[in-house]
Amino acid sequence: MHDESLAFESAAGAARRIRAGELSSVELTELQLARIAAFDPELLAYVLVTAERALEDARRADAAPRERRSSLHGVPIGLKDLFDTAGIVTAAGAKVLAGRVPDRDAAATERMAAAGTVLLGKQNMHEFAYGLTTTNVHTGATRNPWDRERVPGGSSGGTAAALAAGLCYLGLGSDTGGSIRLPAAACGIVGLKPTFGRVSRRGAWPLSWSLDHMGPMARTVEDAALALECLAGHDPEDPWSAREPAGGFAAELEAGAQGLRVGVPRNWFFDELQPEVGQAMEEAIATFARLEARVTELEVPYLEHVYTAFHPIIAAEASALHEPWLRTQPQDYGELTRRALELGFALSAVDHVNARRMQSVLRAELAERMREIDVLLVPSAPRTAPKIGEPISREPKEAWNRCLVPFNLTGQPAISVPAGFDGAGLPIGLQFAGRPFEEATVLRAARAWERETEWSARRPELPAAPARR
Amino acid sequence: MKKRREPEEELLARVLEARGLEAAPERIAAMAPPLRSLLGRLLRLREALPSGAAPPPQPLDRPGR
Repeated sequence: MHDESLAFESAAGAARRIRAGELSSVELTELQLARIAAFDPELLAYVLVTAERALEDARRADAAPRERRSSLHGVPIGLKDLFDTAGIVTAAGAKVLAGRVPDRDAAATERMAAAGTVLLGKQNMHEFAYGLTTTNVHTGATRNPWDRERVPGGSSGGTAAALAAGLCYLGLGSDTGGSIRLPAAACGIVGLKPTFGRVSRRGAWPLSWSLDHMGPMARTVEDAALALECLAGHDPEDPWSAREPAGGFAAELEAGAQGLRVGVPRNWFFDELQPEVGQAMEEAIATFARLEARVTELEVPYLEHVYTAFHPIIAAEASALHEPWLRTQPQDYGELTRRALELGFALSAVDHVNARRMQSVLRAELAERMREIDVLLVPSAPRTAPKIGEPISREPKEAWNRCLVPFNLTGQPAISVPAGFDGAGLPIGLQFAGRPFEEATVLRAARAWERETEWSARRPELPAAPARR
Repeated sequence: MKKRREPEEELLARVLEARGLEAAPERIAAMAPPLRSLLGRLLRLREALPSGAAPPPQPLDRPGR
């Protein structure tokens, strides 16, 4: 297989070939390290490349007995720089945490390592995950591989850019207000936000305790499902970790769309879309109807207040977390992050409680409507990626993450999958959201769509092919 | 003549100073418009809330689980 094709192989495919002895983990790791050396100086998807550790992991993977190899064994991955890695700097894209070396892995880091994956490095992110662009004043601006003048989305932008550019096979991100799904949409990859509590947050730097979700980012739906198999499960060290039985996430992957009850909430999600995004959504709806899914249109009340409800919750929690450093080293924050954090102090406890009440109302309204529906089909984002430096509005109708935030408030699982390209060649994302703890159904819908389209097979043009070492 | 501060600027300056945080006028001036917009929307959110709406439940575990 040609290096370029091998670099874009799925994680599941790469692991199958390692298990079959056709390929070694060391070969894959060397290929990825060479590509990172060639392409990443411009893209800036990584803040730290752990080359020695990666080769060590890969050699260990190759030495492991065949019968003990997991479905992701030997696969090189990247981690958003908020997942603690023992002995390796984890700074959450922040000057405040520069040089911080944890002495223990995050739960998610631990689980991926236990599955035999190989750690290529730590990936760039928006400062403290509090933003949507990954234009980071401390670590630099990650560039979108589809147009290097554009942002990759955020806050898990480094991970999305690395996957889109073939600089890792799998990654982990965090999603408080869309930070897995938005960069997935902007970079044309797959991003899964599992149900709240499904994946342990222990050792992942928090942004907002009651809204943070950890999850996989991948190039295929199957890879996301396999990663969730590794990640999911109760953790007594995360107080909000769910006790629901985990597993079987890939069980329905090939079940197709026939008979699937697909809801299309026309209000809010479909308002004022970039025309190409709207067209892509209509094509998706028509595809599911053709595949004999039962497509129903619906209205969900209160959605126009959801983006407003999101802010007092995230702001109160983030500002509470950061108050000590805002007092002692405010100059170490980027200006926009600092403003967002300081604004949290001006919101009242009453605003916070009312926001939580609206969160409750939305959960009840969506739960009621989803009694008869398996998945919701909505856009991931109302528009494609903006240019680096372009202001990002926080006004509800203009907000880039306004189609994602509702599912952070409800905690239900949601996935973004590639759904086409706009006239400028920028990726468009389609989102499916399911009932709590029904990730398998969300993955089934996403896979049914992926099977019908060829969007996931497209690759961005990168500046120059690297020479193989 | 010194420009009179907007109510949101007053609010921001007061809360930041009260917590011992730096309240630089230029930063406060930049934060005031988004705060004004958010406070206006929060008022509309409050008016839209159904009367029986309560915050989400807090699940508890039995000790020792």
